[in-house]
Amino acid sequence: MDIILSNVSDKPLYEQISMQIKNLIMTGSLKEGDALPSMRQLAKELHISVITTKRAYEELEREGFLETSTGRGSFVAGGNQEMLREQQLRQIEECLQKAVDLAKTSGISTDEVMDILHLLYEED
Amino acid sequence: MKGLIIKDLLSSKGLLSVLAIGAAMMFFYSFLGIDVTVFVVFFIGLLVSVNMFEFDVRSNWDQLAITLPVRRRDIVTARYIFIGLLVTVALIFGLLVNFVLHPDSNVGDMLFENSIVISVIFIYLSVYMPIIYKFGAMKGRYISMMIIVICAVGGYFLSTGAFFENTGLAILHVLNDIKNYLPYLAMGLAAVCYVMSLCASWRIYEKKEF
Amino acid sequence: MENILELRNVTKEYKNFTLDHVSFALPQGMIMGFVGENGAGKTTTIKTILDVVKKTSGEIYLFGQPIEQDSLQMHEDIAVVYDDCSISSFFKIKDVERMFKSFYKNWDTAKFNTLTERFELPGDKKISAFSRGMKMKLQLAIALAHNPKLLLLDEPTSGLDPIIRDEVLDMFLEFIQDETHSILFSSHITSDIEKIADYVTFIHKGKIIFCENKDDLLSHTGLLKIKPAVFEQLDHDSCIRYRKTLDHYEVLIKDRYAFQKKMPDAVIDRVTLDDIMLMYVKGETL
Repeated sequence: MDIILSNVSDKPLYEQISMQIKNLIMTGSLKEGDALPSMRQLAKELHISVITTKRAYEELEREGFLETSTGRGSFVAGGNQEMLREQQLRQIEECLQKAVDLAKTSGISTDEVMDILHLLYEED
Repeated sequence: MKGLIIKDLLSSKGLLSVLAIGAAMMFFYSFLGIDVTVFVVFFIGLLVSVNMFEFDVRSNWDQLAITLPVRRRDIVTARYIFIGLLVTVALIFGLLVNFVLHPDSNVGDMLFENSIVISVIFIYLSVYMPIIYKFGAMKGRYISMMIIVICAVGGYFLSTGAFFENTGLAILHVLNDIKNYLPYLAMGLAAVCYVMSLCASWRIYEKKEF
Repeated sequence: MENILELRNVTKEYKNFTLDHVSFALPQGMIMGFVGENGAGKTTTIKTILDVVKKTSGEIYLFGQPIEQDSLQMHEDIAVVYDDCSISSFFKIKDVERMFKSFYKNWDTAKFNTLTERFELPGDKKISAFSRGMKMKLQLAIALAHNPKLLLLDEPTSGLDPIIRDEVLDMFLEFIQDETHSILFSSHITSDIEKIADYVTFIHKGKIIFCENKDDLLSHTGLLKIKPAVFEQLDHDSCIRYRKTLDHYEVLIKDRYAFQKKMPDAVIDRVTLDDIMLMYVKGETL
């Protein structure tokens, strides 16, 4: 699993892990039903404590991203499309809020901002 | 416990030269008609026991041995068995050498002498081993040397001092009377001493810290 | 059985040193790093756990049983590696194999041979000719070859070059992939502990100073550098220790995330285990 941990990040390790796994799920790298490495395996891979990976997995399970069954391991949970969408919408709103704030302080009009938005969407 | 005896056996590889010299001496002197079995066996018993303990101290063996799936007692028992066997084998070897080189010797006399000898050696070991367990190999050596010196000096006085003439003669009389039973008494006494010594060593070793 | 090893108020009195009410627990499936300066009591603690040294008071539980019960099975399930090699110098590797095979029920000859090969230990030399590092590797091979559940290691990586050290640490991580296994190892090579430990227990002058989750400890603890004026106004609860330098104060902060929120302008550095230990020993309390 492609997880890179940063020592200099602002966030504690378990948060970094859960965020990156969430990211992998949301971007589709991890699909519903995919098996995740066990907490111990992941701890060994990343050279961190199993307590940390356990915490990350527990948080992901609480938020509905993972399903863990003893003996079989941890799998990406199904049926969280709604939740993902919600999250993504929330994030977009946050980003746009920042853009709006910036626009207001610089005296840039809503129309100008909308133009940029259209351009960006068409860029694909 | 078998493993512990194997360990002592493997360790005695380091003493092979000593044992070889002992065997060679027995051959050599036997040729000359002198029976050095007593001395050789005594010194082998002494040397091997001291060295076995010293090896252990030098390699910090006990702190590991105690963590093995063996009881502390077994560590002691294995040592006693090993030394006892070694001394007995050395003695039998000496007897055989003498018998092979002098087939006409009196078997009865030889067995009589050697039973007394082996009993003395075992009684000595019975005193010596708990001392080593209690005080360690280094101090144990000095203490045992002191005991030998004291016994030698005491024996000297006993044999020459007119002061002890009467008691000495009386003892000799008694010994003469029980002459036939002496080997069995001696060996019995030695066996009892050795077992008592084992129990004493058990108690010492069970309390010891490393 | 939650804790594979538990010490409660273990005390051992010597003339010039006392192990003073040492308490900590090692859960199953975890690695605990045991740190402290030389003479702090690490070896003594390990020896009291093994009953090689007799504790004066307190309780020790191994696999849920008090060590007084001293069952032979307990000994089958533990492996010890000491700082000083405990195998006779006359032996060669095959002698060692023969000997230990007769001691342990679960001795795995194939595993022992694989390990000694991996460690490149010469089969034709006596142990007296081994270097310190080689002796350590031999002890590790013996320890792992009888399939124990608990490893008690006293400075297991000292004397090893960094490459082998990394391999050994990897072996330890491999060892606890089995959740019923645990490791307690003491080391003054704190970087090794930072790499693989789940818990860190710090002992100083016979007393346990802390026993913490390593990741939390290293990510949350921070070192704050501030001017004397600001120092006066610090909230005592968030500070563990402080040190005064020529022109500023260094303060060890318990939770730098929380602290950063309270003082957004503060400069809080991350710390290493060495930094933490140094502050606990040399620093003062508020």
